[in-house]
Amino acid sequence: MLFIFALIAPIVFTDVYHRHLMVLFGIFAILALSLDVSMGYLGELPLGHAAFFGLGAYASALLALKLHLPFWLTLPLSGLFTGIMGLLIGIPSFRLKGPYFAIVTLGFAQIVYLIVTNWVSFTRGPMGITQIPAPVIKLPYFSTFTFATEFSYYYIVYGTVLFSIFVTEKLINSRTGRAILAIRENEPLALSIGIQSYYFKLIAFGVGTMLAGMGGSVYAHYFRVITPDLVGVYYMVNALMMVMVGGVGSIGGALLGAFIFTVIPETLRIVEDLRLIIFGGILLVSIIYLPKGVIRGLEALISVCLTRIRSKN
Amino acid sequence: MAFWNILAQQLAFGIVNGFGYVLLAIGLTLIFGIMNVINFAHGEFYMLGAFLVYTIITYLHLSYIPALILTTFVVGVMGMICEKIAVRPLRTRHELSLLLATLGLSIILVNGAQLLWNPRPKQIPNQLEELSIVFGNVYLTYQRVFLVILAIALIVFLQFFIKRTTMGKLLRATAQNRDGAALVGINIDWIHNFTFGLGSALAGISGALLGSTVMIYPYIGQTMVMKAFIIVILAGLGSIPGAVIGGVALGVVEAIAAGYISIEYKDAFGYAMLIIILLIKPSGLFSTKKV
Amino acid sequence: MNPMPKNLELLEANNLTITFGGLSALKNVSFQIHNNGEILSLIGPNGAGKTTLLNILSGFLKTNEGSVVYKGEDITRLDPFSIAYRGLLRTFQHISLFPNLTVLQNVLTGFHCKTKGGVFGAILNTKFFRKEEEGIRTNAHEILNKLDMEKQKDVLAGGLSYGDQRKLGIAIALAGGPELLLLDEPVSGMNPDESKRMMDIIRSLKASGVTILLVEHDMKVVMGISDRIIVLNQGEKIAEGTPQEICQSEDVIRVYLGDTSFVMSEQTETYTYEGL
Repeated sequence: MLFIFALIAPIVFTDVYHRHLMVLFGIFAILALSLDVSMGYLGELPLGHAAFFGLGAYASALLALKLHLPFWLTLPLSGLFTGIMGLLIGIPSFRLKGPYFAIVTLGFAQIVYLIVTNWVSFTRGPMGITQIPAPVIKLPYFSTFTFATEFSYYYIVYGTVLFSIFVTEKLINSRTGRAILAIRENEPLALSIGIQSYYFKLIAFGVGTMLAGMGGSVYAHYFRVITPDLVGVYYMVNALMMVMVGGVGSIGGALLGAFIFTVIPETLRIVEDLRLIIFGGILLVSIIYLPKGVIRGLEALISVCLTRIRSKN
Repeated sequence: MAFWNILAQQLAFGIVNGFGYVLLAIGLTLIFGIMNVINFAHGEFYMLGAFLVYTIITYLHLSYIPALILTTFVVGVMGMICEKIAVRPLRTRHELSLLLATLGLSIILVNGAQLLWNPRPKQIPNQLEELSIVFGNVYLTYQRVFLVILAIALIVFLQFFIKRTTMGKLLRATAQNRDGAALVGINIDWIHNFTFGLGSALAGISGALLGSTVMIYPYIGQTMVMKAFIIVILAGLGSIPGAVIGGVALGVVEAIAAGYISIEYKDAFGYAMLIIILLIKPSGLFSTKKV
Repeated sequence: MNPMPKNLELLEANNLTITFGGLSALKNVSFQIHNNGEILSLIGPNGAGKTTLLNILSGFLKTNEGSVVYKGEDITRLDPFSIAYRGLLRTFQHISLFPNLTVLQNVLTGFHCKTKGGVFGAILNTKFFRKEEEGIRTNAHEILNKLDMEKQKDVLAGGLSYGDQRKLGIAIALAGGPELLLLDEPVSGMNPDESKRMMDIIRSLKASGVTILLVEHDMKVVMGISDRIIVLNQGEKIAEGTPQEICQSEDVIRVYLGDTSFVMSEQTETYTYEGL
């Protein structure tokens, strides 16, 4: 598992546009990582996963606006909320496997979408929620500092991404993580050595949905406006593509996928209308030709180069 | 008195919709039963059926029935083309890869449609929709009656086709044992291609028929595909009689829910049914397979 | 796990019966595995029900007729993972490993039922967690050394040779600390050299106190290492005894007509397998 710490410097790019892109990349990275935990390490396809992203956004926004909680509370609380919802939905869903599991999670996601869209008194329905407050720190000697610019918010995103990577990495390199991977690799064998697959599937899914919810929260307080389509198909597809194309079951893969899918829409601005068609095409092509994602191809390439270099010395 | 009238009217609508769903569901269940593919793009062929019949009537000035026939063939052929591109290369892979591939296909089709025909809702110009018959106190447009009659005819024809013709036998053989069928010389490639085309054509007919009763827009396929999944899973993947019962049942349940409980959440009832069935008997009510 | 009283059988199979769609896969099969570190082999022609029996013993198949009692406890209704926790582990005939993990990771995973660490320990990197991880890493290296696989510890399991994959399957099961180990055709597909090495491994397992139930087709192996043999045919137990008794049993010879090893034994009257 390659852990390339390709590190920071948003200070290099000084224009708003690029910084905005970097924030977007961070948000998508959290989403991609969360799906990777729920899907890549687990080996099942939770089509409804991205709904938790939107759910987290709504939870965070509503907590901030109705209970006046600060971002520093709404972020973990929405993560907790989506994590628990994930467990609740997972409990019945994991009695199934494969395509049935995929469809039932999709069914749950559609129900969430319907509720968010139609419970207008609570969620304001299709009008969405606006004026979500930006994170604020009250420092004792300085004035209160609001994280309202791309530059400042970047560090919030950065922190959350680091947290997500940390949690994912620690989870995978542990007994729990090995159990989760074992279930993916060979479920009967895993059972025969004492791994209670149902329980561990729930854990993986819960962690994944928790991270997704936190991603949603970060989205909500940056864009300050959210609408029901956050719980909809677009983000589901996006998240799937990021993980499938970048690389399933790998932190680097999720990050790479998020990067690709932040950059490509921007370069495709010219052909805005074709954008989604191209996305679909990319998904199709990568499933056929690169089933394990770009990252494996890159890893293979790198190891080939390294062996060549070593043999030359 | 009024109560029964309304109920009867709702039931009638429900049955009409139900038969539309049945055609869609049979298409999906055929594709699954014979090819073992969970086709997420199925709804898009429904949408294409609706839009093609709209385009043919509007721009080629054909009347509804010829347009319907032409649409069926075109959608069927499109299905065959899509199978060749998106499904066949993945035949040896895990079924989840196939699922994702059909998802990708669905994205391409939906957004392609959105480009070709703009997102504004349209009405299919169909004379059959403009006149009504009255049964007692229930009003139904000719189109709706036509839908039910045609659907029943197609269902009967399909049953005959599968059980009595040679082609039908080939399909059943491939469904039961793909490798065995290949070994005895059946051309699996062609069978799969045909099946996908047939399934998609059925979806297209469903779209052309049901689409005439509502306003159509490119995203209608997405909701329809979920309904088809609900029916097919309810009935048991691969079961046609089950699809018939399931489809009509769903139509009726939705109509009652929409009329008496809540229009916005009417789709939720379908999803709830799906979730409950998946938890109690995932293999479906009419199937004997173990999941 | 509690130490067992000496007179209790390690495992008792009582009247196990199971049918699949009208076909009896097992009919009233009963036997005992003694608590004395023996190697018991299960043989029989294809379709005799050997793998079905293994699946029932390890909890992968459930039957309403008959019972399995392990260390005095009725485990017939237990899930496979609960059975593993009680010290009954098994290998699988086909892929018995985790293909996309390294050899070391495979073995580390095997320690699951012997360790306790949870999610929070991992995330917070507690002392308990670290100690446990260190412990199993050391044990993993021991197991790999014993099986002569230490050098391949970072190789992806899916890329191993067939014989090594079999060894890995045993390594994973060993990590779980079995008292009773069910081996499903451990030498199938191996050449004579590999078979001999596997036999040595199995003997050393016995020496370290593991009781073994072995399903196997290779008669040289079966005759060479078994203390006792049970013969199944078409779902029924037709013979049970020491290797000598078995190859003199008429029932067995009739069932295996055509197997030259038995014919050979009649001619030589002795039953030794030296120099494989």
